[in-house]
Parts: sequence; C-alpha cells; structure tokens
Amino acid sequence: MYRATSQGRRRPGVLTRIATVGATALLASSAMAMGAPSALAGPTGETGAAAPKAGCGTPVLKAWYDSDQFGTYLKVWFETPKGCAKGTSVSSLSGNVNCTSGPSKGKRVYQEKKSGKAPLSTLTRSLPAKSKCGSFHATAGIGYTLGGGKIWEDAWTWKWGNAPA
Amino acid sequence: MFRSAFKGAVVAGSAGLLCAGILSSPAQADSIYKGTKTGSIDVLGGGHKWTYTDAQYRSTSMKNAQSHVIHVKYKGCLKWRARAAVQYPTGGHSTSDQQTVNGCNKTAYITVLGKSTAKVTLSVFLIVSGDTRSVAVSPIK
Repeated sequence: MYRATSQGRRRPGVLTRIATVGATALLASSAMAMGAPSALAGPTGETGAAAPKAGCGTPVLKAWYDSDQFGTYLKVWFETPKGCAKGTSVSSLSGNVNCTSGPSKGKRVYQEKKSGKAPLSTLTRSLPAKSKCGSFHATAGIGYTLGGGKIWEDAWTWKWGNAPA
Repeated sequence: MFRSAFKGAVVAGSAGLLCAGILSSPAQADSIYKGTKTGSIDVLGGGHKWTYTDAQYRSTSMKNAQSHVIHVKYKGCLKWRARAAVQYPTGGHSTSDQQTVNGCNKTAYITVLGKSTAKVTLSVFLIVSGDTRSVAVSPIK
C-alpha cells in the first residue's frame, strides 16, 4: 500500500510514520524489540501466558499528550492488552485515575468502565492541567467472561508531562 | 562514521550480554554512551529501597533518540515488577518495558528507547500488595 509522506526520502532505520493512535502497537513493538525479556504477572502470580483461552492478561493504560495552539492536554484511556485475540469476551474493563499532588490532590479524575469484545477500550478523557494536578496514580482491572471471576489488575504512577509506568 | 565506545560502558556481569544484544540491533548499531544515572525508589516509605542504574546511549542513526538500559535491584525477598516508560522519539505516544522477578536479591533488566529530551518514569510494583511508586529519571544531554 503506497502512502505519500510529507517527510521526503526515508533514511534507513528511521521510522518516518507519523504517530497515530492506531500505530501505537507498531511503535511500541519496534521500540521494545531490543527490550529485556519480560513476564507479565497478575496479582496471584500467574503469568499472562497462563490464561490464553480465557483471557489476555492485565489491562493497558494509554496516555497521550495532545497539543494545540492553546496548550498541551493529557488524555488517557484503558484498553485490552496488545495481542489479545479479537472477539475475546471481556466482562468488565475498568480504570480509574486519582490525582496525587497539587490543588486536586486526592480527587478521582477519571473513572470509566466498559464491557464487550476485544479489542476494547474505555472512553478517552482529559486529565486536569499541570497547574491543578502534578502527578497521578492509576489502577485498572479486567475480567474476562471465561476467566472464572479472576480480575487482572495493574497500577501506574507518573508526573504530569511524563509517561505512566 | 563514529563507532560508539560502549566497551567501557557495559554495566556489570550478565548485563554485559544484555547490553551487547541491545547495541547490536539496527537502531542501536551506532550509539554514543552518555553516562549512567543512579538512584533509589522507596516503595513503601519505610526504608525498603530498590536501587537502579540507567545507562544512557544517544543513537547516531535515529534522530532525537536515547536508549536507557536500566537495572533495578532489591536485596529483600519479594515478588515485584520494574517498569520503565518514556515518550517515543517521534513524540506523542510512549513505549515501555517491564520485568517481573521473584525471590531474594533479584535484579530486573529493562530497556526503553525514548525521545532524547524526555524523562523516563521508572516504577516498582509489588505483585502481592499492589503498592507502587515511581521516579522520573532525566535524560543526560
């Protein structure tokens, strides 16, 4: 498929695709190609690979810093993990974010839930500006219809302006 | 073409193998060692410290890209996960890597490639309790 780029000629080894929401997985996987071997583990100690048919493991948090002429906005949403088989039934995907510093400290600034089939994502919402909230703590849980009631959870903390980890 | 002098920058022990593997991949074939940041993460606030080293390499083949080779170590006995996330070189989205370890005196090895001006968020997550804490590691210019 030919795609016209405004970037001119491509230099080998350099990604010239403009990052778009749909390209997240491609960029992430390219960047992680050299990463250390990693094992995702749920709260009870099972790895993501231990639940192939029933589910796909822990949920993913996506944070996107969007800029326009008026400023920069932090938008977040939660989604089913990369590689989750299309059509996997999700009984509940829920995520929430709390502010942990600044004037809005202690406030819940995001809370969304969704059910359906993978790929699934919760509503994208903007988090408060840096002046209102300097850092965040997010948690998410996902339950799969065939998962026997097990909830896969994960948590992230980060400062406004940085990536969640 | 400048060849990186990363021989002297290999961190330690088995990490050397990791670093060699990382730096031989196409995007890291040419890189300049920038230095190593060190610090600690006090997850529970009670003096249980996780220590980290972040060896940083500026890519000479990819624009505005800096890789972080991170080791996180904890002397105690626990099941925990280290995760690093950073804005990708072209901006907007972030990339992350993580590793879960279980046992005593364990080290987690994680690597991310980020924008050369972006801070890395490095977190430790305790699997059983769900407690988590992170720090921001600045890129070395």
